[in-house]
This record gives sequence, C-alpha cells and structure tokens, in this order.
Amino acid sequence: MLSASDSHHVSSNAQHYKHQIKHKPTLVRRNILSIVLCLLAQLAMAQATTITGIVRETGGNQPLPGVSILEKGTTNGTISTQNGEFLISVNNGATLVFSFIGLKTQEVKTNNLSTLEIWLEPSSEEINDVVVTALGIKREKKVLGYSVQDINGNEISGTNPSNVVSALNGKVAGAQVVTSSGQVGASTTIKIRGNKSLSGSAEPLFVVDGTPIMNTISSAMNTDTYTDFGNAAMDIDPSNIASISILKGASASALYGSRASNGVVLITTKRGTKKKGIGVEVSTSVAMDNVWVLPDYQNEYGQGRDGSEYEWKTNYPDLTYQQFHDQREFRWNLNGTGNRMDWDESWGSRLDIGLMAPQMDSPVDANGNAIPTPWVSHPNNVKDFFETGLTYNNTVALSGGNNTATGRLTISRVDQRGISPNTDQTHTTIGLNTNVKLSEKLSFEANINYSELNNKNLPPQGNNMRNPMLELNGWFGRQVDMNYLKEHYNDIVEYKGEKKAFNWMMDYNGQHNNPYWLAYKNTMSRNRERAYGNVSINYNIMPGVDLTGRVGTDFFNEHRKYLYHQYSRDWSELYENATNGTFWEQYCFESETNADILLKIDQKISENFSLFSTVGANYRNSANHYATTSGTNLVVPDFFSTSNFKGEPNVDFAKYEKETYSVFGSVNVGLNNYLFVDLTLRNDWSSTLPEGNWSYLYPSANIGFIFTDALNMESDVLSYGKIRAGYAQVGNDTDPYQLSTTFQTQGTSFNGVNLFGSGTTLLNGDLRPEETRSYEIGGELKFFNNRLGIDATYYNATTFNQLLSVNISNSGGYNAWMKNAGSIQNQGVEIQMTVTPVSIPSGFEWNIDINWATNRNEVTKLDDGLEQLQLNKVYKGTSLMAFPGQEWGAFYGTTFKRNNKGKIIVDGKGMPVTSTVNEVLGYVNPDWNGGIRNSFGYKNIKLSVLVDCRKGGDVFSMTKADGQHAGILAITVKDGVRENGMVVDGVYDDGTEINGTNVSGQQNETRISARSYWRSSRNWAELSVFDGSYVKLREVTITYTMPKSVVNKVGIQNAVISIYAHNLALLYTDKSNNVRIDPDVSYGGTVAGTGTEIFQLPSTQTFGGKLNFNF
Amino acid sequence: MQRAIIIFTSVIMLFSCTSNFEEINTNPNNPEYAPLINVFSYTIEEMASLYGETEMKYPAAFAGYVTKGTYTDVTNYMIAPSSVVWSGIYIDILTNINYVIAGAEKEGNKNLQAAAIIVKNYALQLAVDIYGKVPYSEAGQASSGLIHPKFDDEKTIYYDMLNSLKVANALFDEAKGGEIGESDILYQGNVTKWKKFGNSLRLRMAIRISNIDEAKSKEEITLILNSPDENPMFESNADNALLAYPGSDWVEPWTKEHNTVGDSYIAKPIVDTLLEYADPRIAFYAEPMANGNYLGLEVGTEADTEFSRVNNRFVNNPTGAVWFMKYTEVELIKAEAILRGFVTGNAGEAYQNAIAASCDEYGIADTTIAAYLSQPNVKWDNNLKQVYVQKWISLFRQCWEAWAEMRRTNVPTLLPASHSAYNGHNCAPLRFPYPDSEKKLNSANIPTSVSEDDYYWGYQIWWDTRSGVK
Repeated sequence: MLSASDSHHVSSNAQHYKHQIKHKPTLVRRNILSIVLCLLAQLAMAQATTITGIVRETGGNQPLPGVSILEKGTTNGTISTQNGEFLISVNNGATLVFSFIGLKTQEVKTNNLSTLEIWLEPSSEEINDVVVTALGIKREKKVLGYSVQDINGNEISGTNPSNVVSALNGKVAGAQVVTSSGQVGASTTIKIRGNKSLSGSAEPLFVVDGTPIMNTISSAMNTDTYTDFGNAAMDIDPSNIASISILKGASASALYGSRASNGVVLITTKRGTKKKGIGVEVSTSVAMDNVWVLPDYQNEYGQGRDGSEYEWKTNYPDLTYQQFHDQREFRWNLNGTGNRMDWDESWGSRLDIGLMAPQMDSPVDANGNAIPTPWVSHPNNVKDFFETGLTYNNTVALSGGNNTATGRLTISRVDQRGISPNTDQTHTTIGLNTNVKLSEKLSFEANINYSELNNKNLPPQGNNMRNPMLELNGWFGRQVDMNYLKEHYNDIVEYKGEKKAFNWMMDYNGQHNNPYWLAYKNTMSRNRERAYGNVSINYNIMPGVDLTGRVGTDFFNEHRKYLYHQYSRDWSELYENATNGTFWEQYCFESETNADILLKIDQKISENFSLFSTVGANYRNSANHYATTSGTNLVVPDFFSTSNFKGEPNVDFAKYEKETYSVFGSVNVGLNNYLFVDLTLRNDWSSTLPEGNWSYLYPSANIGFIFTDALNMESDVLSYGKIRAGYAQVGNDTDPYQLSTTFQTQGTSFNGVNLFGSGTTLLNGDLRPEETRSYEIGGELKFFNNRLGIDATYYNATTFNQLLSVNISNSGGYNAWMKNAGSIQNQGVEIQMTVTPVSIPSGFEWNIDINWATNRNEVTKLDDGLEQLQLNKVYKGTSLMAFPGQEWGAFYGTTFKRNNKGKIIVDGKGMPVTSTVNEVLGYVNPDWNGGIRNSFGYKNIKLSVLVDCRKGGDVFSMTKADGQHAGILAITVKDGVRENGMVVDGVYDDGTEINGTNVSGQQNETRISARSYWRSSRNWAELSVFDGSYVKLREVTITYTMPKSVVNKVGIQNAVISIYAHNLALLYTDKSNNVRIDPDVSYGGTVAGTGTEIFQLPSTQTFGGKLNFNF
Repeated sequence: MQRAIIIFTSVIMLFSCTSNFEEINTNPNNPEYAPLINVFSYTIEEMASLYGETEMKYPAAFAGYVTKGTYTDVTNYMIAPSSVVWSGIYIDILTNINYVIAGAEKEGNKNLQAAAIIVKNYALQLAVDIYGKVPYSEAGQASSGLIHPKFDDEKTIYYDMLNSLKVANALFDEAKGGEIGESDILYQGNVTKWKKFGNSLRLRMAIRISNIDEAKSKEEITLILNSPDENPMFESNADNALLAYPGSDWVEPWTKEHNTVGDSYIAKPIVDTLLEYADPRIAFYAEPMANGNYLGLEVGTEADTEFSRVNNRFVNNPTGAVWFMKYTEVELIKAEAILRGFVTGNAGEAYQNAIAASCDEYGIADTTIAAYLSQPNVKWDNNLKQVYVQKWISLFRQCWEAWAEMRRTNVPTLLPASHSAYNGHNCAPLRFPYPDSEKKLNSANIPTSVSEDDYYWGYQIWWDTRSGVK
C-alpha cells in the first residue's frame, strides 16, 4: 500500500511539479481481466459498458489505491483497489472523473475503450499536502480548518535520535520539548501550546498507526529511588517512522476525546509496497556522546571549614598560612584523631600556593598517620568522572508485496553506553506491518511492534545520597583527585575503629559516597518488554463507504531492581538499618486497550459538493499493576534475594484501572473545492467520575476557505491562500479512585500492629468532568510558486472546572480537597515559514524552515477564595506555585529583604536580612521559542543545520544553590572575595546601631567573609533562579547519497552516508545564568518539573555517522 | 449495507454499558474504613514522630538543650519554622483521632473513646502552646464543609481541654479492661495507665495556666490531687507515657534526624547547668569530648572546634523512645502546687521523688542520687526556682514542654541565639508564626491581635505572663 505521506510531505522541502497531464490508455494485464470477467455477469444487465483499468502515479510508477472514479454527471462511482485496479460499469460514451487527494483530477472520455491505464499527476496548482488526521485518516491539508504540522520520517531518523520525542525539538512550532538530562534513556517531555492543566499532565496523546500508546511520564520518576525511567514513547523505533503529524489544538483532536486536549502526536510507521522481489534496507550507525555543559567551578580554594586568606589574615595574623591550615583545616587521618574531614564544603585553604595537607592519597608513616602532600587543585576532576558515551544502532528492514498482500518487517538494535560510568541501555525493536486483501471488499491490516529495553544501570537523580551528581556539583572538594577515587572505590577501610567505604572524606555517617561506589555498587537495573499494535478489518461496503473495526493494545512488563550495598551511606533510614545492604524490586504491568469501530463515508456528491463523514465508537481500558518489594536489611551481606531479607519485607501490590466508552461522529462538507466545513461531536462515559456526571458530550466546528481559488486571486506572486477558523470543546475525566478518601497502611507493622492513617486529600463524590474550550484562527499563504510559505495560527484555549487537588487550610484536617476548581487560559501565536531562496534545477538548493511560537499562560482562577496552589516543592523553602491572575509555574521562596527602593537590607553585622514572606522569583514558561533549519542541497550532498532558541523561562538550579552554598562554583571566588571579604551593596536595617550610632538606612560598610554571604545564599532563593534563555546549535547533518552508477555495480540500489552532531554549541545564555547551567532541564519528566534542575546529569554532545543502503 | 448497519448499531449498543463503572472505580488498594485500634495506634506514632522530629530542630535550641553545629540558619531564626508542626497536628493527628473518637462512641467502646480524647488533647495543647490562638472548636471538620475554621482564644481552648479530659476520666471503665486492645502501641490496652496519663495531662494543663488564671488552675489541681482515687495519675516511671521504637523500619525520630544531617551538639545552657549542679545526668545527656570533658555549644554558633555531642542514647539509637509525659513531671507539679498553697502536702518529698525518678530513668545508683539530693544547690529549700530548674533538667527529651515551661516560669532565662539576624530581642522565641499556608488559605480567620515579628516574636501566648520580654 502506498502511504501518501511517504511521498508527499509537508513543505519542509518545497517540491515543484511540472504541469502536465498524461493518460496512456493501454491493455491491462490478463489476470485483472479474468477477475473482471467473473464480476461482469452480475453487472452487465444494468449497464451498457464495463470498463476495467489501473491507476498509477506518474514518476513513481506505483499503482494508486483509493482513487475515486466517478461517472461524470451521475452518482455512479467506485474506488480503486489496493493494487490500483478498478472496475466500473458506465453508460456508453461516459466520461470518467479520476480524483485523488494531492493529485490533479483527471477526466477521461471512455469512448469505446474497455480498459484504461490512467496516470495521475501531482498537482501544483492545488496544495497537495496530505496529512494524517485524527483516527489515522489521511486528509488533504487544504480541507482542514485547524493547524496540523507534519514531519517527514527522514527528518526524524536522519539524526538517529534515541528518543523520538527529543527529535522533535525545534521542529514543531508551538511545542516545547525538554530532555530532562544527559543520562541514557532520559525522559523527554513535549508540551504543545502551553500548559492547559493546573496540576495534571500536559502530555499530548501518542498514537501509532491509529492506536493510542502509553507515554506514561507520570510513572517515569520513582520517588523512592529518584530514577528517571524515561518516557514510554522512547520504545518507538525512530528509524521505522514514515511520518509524524502533530495535531496541536483541541479542534484537531476532538475525535480522540479527553486525552487529546493537549494535542496529539500521530506517528505512522513505514509500510511495505508492492514490488518485484523483496526490498532490503540496512542502516548502521555509531555515535559518541560527551558531557557537554558543566558549571564553572572555582579552582582556588579547597575543601574545608573557614580557611580563606581573609579568615587567616583577619583572625589569625600571627600564624603562617601553613600553621593556620594545620590547626584549623583539612587533615586526612584514618585513626580519626585531630582531623577535620567533617566539613563537606569548599571554604578551606587556598590551593596551589605551596600549602601541604594530609590527604586521602598521601603516604602513611609508621604510625599510620598521613604525611602531608601538596594542597593542589584538580580543575578537571568533575569532567574526569564522565566517560565517552557510545551508541551503536543497526537496523534491517525487509519489505515487499504482491497483489493481495504487502508487508514490512523492521528489526533494530541500539546499544548505548552512558556518559556516567557504568550506565547503559540496549534496545531491540521489531516492527511488522502487513496488509492483506482478502477480497475486493475485505482487507485486514496488522501493525505489531515488540520492544525490549535493558539497562544494567540507570543513574539516579535528585537531592539524595544515591546521586553521584549531588557529590560532584554540590559537595566535591576542588582538591580531590578523581582518578584516585576511581582506583579505590571498592576499598573498605577502618575509620575510627569502624569499617567504612573509602571516600575522600570519611567523617560522615549517613552522607557522602564515593561517586564510583554509587556508579558501580548501588545500581538500578531495568528491563522492559513491550508489545503494542493493532489489527483491523476494513470492509468496503460500497464505493466511498468503509467500515473498519480495529483493536489495538499496548502493554509492557517492566522489572526494576535497585541495589544498596553494605557500607553505603545514605541519609535515610537505610544507613542505620541496612547494615548488610538491601534492595528494592518492582514489577510493573501497564496496559491500554482500545477497540474502535468506524464507519467512513467519502462521497463526492457532485463536482462542487463533497461529503466526508465518520461515525464511530471507542472502548478503552487502561490498567496498571505494580508489585513492589523492599526490606530493611539483609542477612547475608550484599546477597540481593527476597529470601535473604532480615525480618519481614515490605510488599506492596497496587492496581489502577479505568474504562471509558465513547461514540463520535464527524461531517466534513466541501463546497466548490474551496470551502470546507467540519463538524464533530463526541460523547464519553468515564468510570472515574460519579454516576450522573460520568457522561459528557462535546462538539467542535472548523472552517477552511481557500480564497485564492474562490476569488481567482492566483498570481505569480500569491500562489495559494487559505484562511481557517475553528472552535472546539473537550471534556476530561480524572484518575481512578478520586471519589472517596481511603486509609493507607504505613510501611511495615509497628511491633506487629499495622498502622492505618487517613489519606490527606479530602475526596468527594461530586466531581464533574473538566472542560476545555478553545478557538483558533489561522491562515496559509504561498508565494512565488510556493517558494515562500507562511502558516500562522492564533489560538486561545481555556480549561474550566479543572479537577484539582486544591490546598485547603490544614486546620480543617486535610491538606487538599479534590474538586472542580480553577481555570487556566493559554493563548498564543505559532508561525511556520518555509523559504526556498535558491533553487537551481538539478543543482544547488537552499531551504529554510522556521518555527516560532509564543504562548501566554494565565491562571485565570483558582478555587473561590484560594490565593495559591502549590504545584511542586522544589527545594528547601522554594516551591513552584500557581497564583490567580499570574502565569502558571511561579518559583516562590524567600529572598533578600529589600527597602522600597529595592536596596538589599543588611543587619548590623553586614549580612543581608532574609525576607520573612515568600516572593515570586520567576516563571518557568518561556516567552517564546523557535527553531531555524537551513538545508543546503547540491547534487548528492545535503547539509542541514538546526538552531533552536528560547527566550525566557526561568530555571531553578540546585547545582547553583548548593554549589554556591558549598563554595565550589567560580562565582564564590570572584573579585577576590576570599582574599579580601566583601561588602554587600545594601543599606542597614531600621534600628541598626553600630558602635552606638544609629545607622538605619545608611549604605552598608560592614565587611563580611565570602563564606558568610554564600553559605546563607540558599535562603535567598533568587540567587538560584535564572533566566533560561538560550540559543543552541542543536543539530547539524551532512548527507551524501552515493551515485547510483557506483552502488549499482555492487548490487545496491541506494546508499546514503550521513554524519550528524547534536548539541554542538550553546551559543547564548542569559547573563543571569552566571554559573553556566544548561537551561534545558526538567526534573522527573513531569510538567511541574520543567525548569527545575536537581542534580540531573549534564546534557550530552553527540557526534555520529550513519550508513544507509538498500538492495 | 443493511447487515453492516445492524452490526454497527449493535456494537454501539455494547458501548453504552456503564453498569460496572462503580466497581471499576472502587479503590482495590486501600480501604475506605479501617479498624479503630489501627488508626489509633497510627495517630500515636504520628504524634511521636512529629514531636520527636520537630523538637530536635526548634524547641531543643530554644530551651537550651541541643543546637546545630553546621546549619546554623535554623538556630539563628534565618528561616521560617516548618509548617509540618501545624499540618501534623491538624491533618495527621486530628483527622485520624476524630475518626477513632467518633467510631469508638458509636461502638460504645468508652475506654478507647477516652484514650483517644487524651491523645487529641495532648496534640491540641501542643498547638496552642506553640501558636497561641488556634482553630479548635471548628478544626478538623473539612469533610463537613467547614474549610475556614475560626480561631479560638487560648483561654477558651484551655478550659475546654480541661473539661474534655475530665469527661474522658469519667468515661474510663477499668472493669472492661480489654476493650482498647493489645494493638494499642502506647499502653497495650492498659486502661489504668491511660487514665493516669489523662489526669497527669490535666495537671500539666492546669499548672500551665497557673500564673494567668490562678483560680482555675487551683480549682483543677485541687480536684485532682485531693481525690487521687477518682483521678489517678502517674505513680512511678512504669506509668510514663513513652513510645519506644522497634527500630528497623521504625527508627526513633532523633536518631533519624541525626542521620540525615548529623550536626547536633548539646547546647551550652544545659551543659553549664549540669556542670554547675554536678548533675550525674550529664553523662547520659551528653557525650564527653576526646579529653573526657563536657563542653556545650552556644546556640546559633558554628562548631568550629570540638564540642560535646548529644549522648548516643538519643541520637544514635534506632530503638530509642519519644517521651510524651513522665512521672517526674507529676511530682514536680505537686511540689509546685503545694509550695504555692493550692493543696497541702510535702513539697520536698515530691521534689525529691521527682529527682530520684528522673535519675532512675538512666539507672543512676541510689547512692549517687542521695548524694546529689544532699548537694547544697539541690537540697530542698522550699524554693520554687529549685522546682523549675529540676523540671528543666528532667524535661531534656521533652523539648516542646520544656520550651513552654521556660516561657511560663522564666527558668532558665535564655537569650536569643548569639548570631541571630534580628535585632532587638531579649529572650528566646515566644511562639511560632502561623504557617504561610494558613495565612493564605484561612486569611479571614487569622487573629489580627496576634502580632508576628521576625517569625518568632511579637506575641506572648496567654499563659506567658513574663513582662519585659520582646
């Protein structure tokens, strides 16, 4: 079967077709004739002449299925078969009209011919883009009254992304794509047209070959282990994608119901086509990843408590710096006497000036005491921790087909090694698409995918002692030699008479691990086996009328196991309890099943009037099961089996299930081929809502008007013009079990008694569905024979009656109340532009694709009288909040107390005073983002350069918060503050007296140490929030198609070599990002984690090469 | 075509089946109802963990017991106190204990009902002693739609709590001994001990208001002390209300807290006092330094050289306990009541019993106790300050109570932390500010009469009659 989107993709490469019509009446093959003859008898009575034939597309020589064939002036018609063949009985001398979306309509006089071979030409006068719309129905883009953006599979697979979502970055106007970190298998979020939910998910619905699949980001972050398990859509093999359609607004997605209110990502995989013999495609690639953006560290002062030159000179002027250091600062000694390893910050003595100190790698004298060695910096110690990541990607695809069946089988395997030591991923996917024609009327199709994902170890993230990044970016002494730690990570030493794992400082119980210990010992393994796909039967009731039944499913089994070895340090109960080590193990089963039935009527009633309508129904069931086991301690140290748990293990089985039923219908009426009206209606029944409210109906209406056709305005300048407008409502349900509060048992029993406590959210039984109302207007203009194209959309979407867990006064007995409350509005503008500045036939071509979008978000209302909603606790006192009348997602925390002129207020000791009320410190949503792709083609070589950028969008960085506090960042030594101290630019607080003089309101003149200032900086959260604007050179790809004359000699039809790079350069960041943090971060793969950096692995830079050939 | 329509219609009909929705949406993981005793024990554990985890951070420093050596921003009042205290009392404790009280009343289980009333009042007294005016009469009723509870004044609350405990005392029926059930993690269903705890708590409440409302205080104390048969109270350490942790998954809160940060030091005020009194308890409260001496760290100061740590029995002991109330305190209240003329009796005997009981908790030898009791500054001298000092020493692991008593008795008189960012205060904190969330979510009811300066000052709780503190 020919996939229209294989050969016609939207606009990214302007295609130019010559105006020509060919028709070559000829004799058709004998086998067709025999089928025809059998059927002929039935029809001969009614009609005078029977005509058979085949329709092909010029150029490709491919037979065209689904071509509408109509006897002119009548309603008599048919549709070409899968093999492009047709059979029609007509009156003598009739004229047949052949039409197919995207191709030029052709009229052919039958005269006395009984067989026809028709060649349909691509049209250039009409916009020939065909896009996949809701329910997988291919529609001509021109008939749509809403915005759809199509991306060709080559744009996805060309750069070998490991996650299909991350490949969309910079390519879709109005989509914000954020990869959470640089780990292997990191989750990537996509948010289309802003955040429509106050507290829920903003994830669009992912649909593969017509069946929704899970991209459950909600379970991505496990709160027990802080592991990012990725987003589930990463199981889709990017190399097997034929095209992606992004349905952005609710108008486009009313037919998918609730889950599509955040947009839909429709993925169509590659199909087999009818051809002689089998087609074999092979692709192989290798890529290298390296750690990319690391913060600016200081290299002047080592670990310690208060050893700056300022401290030494100010308070201990009688000592030499060495004496001062010996008495007060870092001294390694395993017997624990007189050492100072109990300070994990970097406010110690100056490095690289000849000071000597006993350190972990110092030699030991006869009494076991470390002999001082030079106190020197290791500027690359953090960088040294990271390794070069490697990705090998191999794919083989077989495809073929004959008159009755087509098929494609793809097998791919990706082996990855992460940049963090001992992290990896292997991913095997198998995809099979087949289409079998059982009879002229009946066909079935099956799309089946299997995927196996394996990680021997995924790194943890977050503010916890299991995360190596917490050590590296928070508490790592600048004097530490990383290689020494690597060599000794497995050592168990005796410290103060107690056995402990070796580390660069030893005096902590529940804190600080050697990062290599974490990487090699305390691992999180994961294995996921997943199958998704669908089978469908299509029955062609009559020409233009099809009934399709489809059952699709997506399910996976995932196994996760986290090991915690003996001698590990942790600030949870583990440290005290798991003295022999422990582990945590989980099996999850998640599934989603969809059954659809769809009646599709596509009728061209007359030349000027077409009708396309659908009626359908959907049943959906989604179920998640989790079985989790953990225990307090082990009997045999480091033997990680449930049989080895000491005492009773913690066993938790949980199940979540929901069901929905839906019926829906749509009507699209086309008038004169330039005015299109589309109406949809859907009713859902959801098990998550109470009786009486579990049924809800919602409509949409769209209109598209091609004014250039209607008004005959076409000219050399303006090739095409269309305006469109749409309105849609979408209802939405909630998660299961939100209707009554339950009691939960708390961990294992307490002295044999199970402790049951009430849930802290008040649930009630009168929830109603929430509702999104949106409208959009937009237009498409093409100029200069399609060399310049602009597609612009304005949209406005408001979600009302959000199902929300509203914070209520705790003195009422609950933390929150689940109810319908609050509304949020998003409005914005999206612009896509395609320009072809240069196009020389069979020579140089230059294309520019521009995507730009801005979104203004406002929480228009929370609950009555509710002034704030906490979305996420970020760190210490800082939260992510929603306030009525403001943008969603405000960082909110304490900061400097300021006077009415904005001056920082300092106390009598010269220290800034902290505000006693929280203040808004920034907003996570960007002002706008965009991407520019320049593609240059010359003969066989193509170069593509993608730059993407973001303006605004604040980031909270824990690396900044803790790195400043602990004194490891360059900003903490700037301007000689550790040598001379610093005077805060501020004024004295009211009532401040210095030496008996009242200095209220006067300019501060009191000098403080850099240490005093920065160690308190976590209370001034504005110092951890910065503007996340950036410009990145995101992707560069060079593709070389080898000459056929060369490759054909070795039996290869086509061979393409490409070299690509991701994240080449961070070209611009805002001045406020003064410690160099990659602003493109999100924590936990959720919307509320956008813009939050809690010690994620830094992002990676990739260089790779790929060879693609088929024979 | 016709056949297709029939199939299509019948499929649509199938789809309109919602009869199993309620079943599907019934939570299979957690029940809507739980046995009362399991909820009761949950509440007790919540109260213990809340008490223990928060006392180490805040009142331990305010009362001069324990301070932080590294993260001094908390001990220097740089950041607002955690709202966990408020939410813990109102959400974790009140909602669950109300469920138990209502359920027990419905079942006619009077002993459990009375025991639950005691737990509820223990928690609410904490709230009023920490914050002052708090939601009381309308608290914990969000499920009835009351989401903006009004604040009641301290006097109203105290009167009602005292009455409520009196009612609880009358509810107990010792004949039905097994009614509470062995799954009671505090007293294993021992009705007598619960009854004693309730009356001891009444004494604690009554003595708290003795300076501001002596008549009421006297009335309550007289009632209890003069009819001990009807109002039994703690008679020995065996009666103490303490929750011992089993360890393993349930680590004692101070140990848990210490494992997380581990920068706790024993504070200078208590160490200096113990040294001054040559108190044998010092070896059980503190760890000696390498040289064998004890040196307390000044509150709000970083530990830049060696200082004494808190004794391992408190911070390195997963199977340690949280103390709600002890026999020692009852004897000290008796001593004070006698000395102040509320009741007649032997104040010195009560005082000595108290000290002996306190020392006995640590297994200090009787001879050592006797020697201690005969020291000039310990020997009974009919002096109220002696009672107060001994109360402060004995309340070491009950920092919330110690901080409250310090504000009532002005013993010890402690200054704000040495490196406090706020000027102009002459005493340790007076109270907690209302949490930000309460100010935002119940703004109309926040009492305007409660002024808040620099988080911890600006308003003296009703029973705090000290003058000149700011």
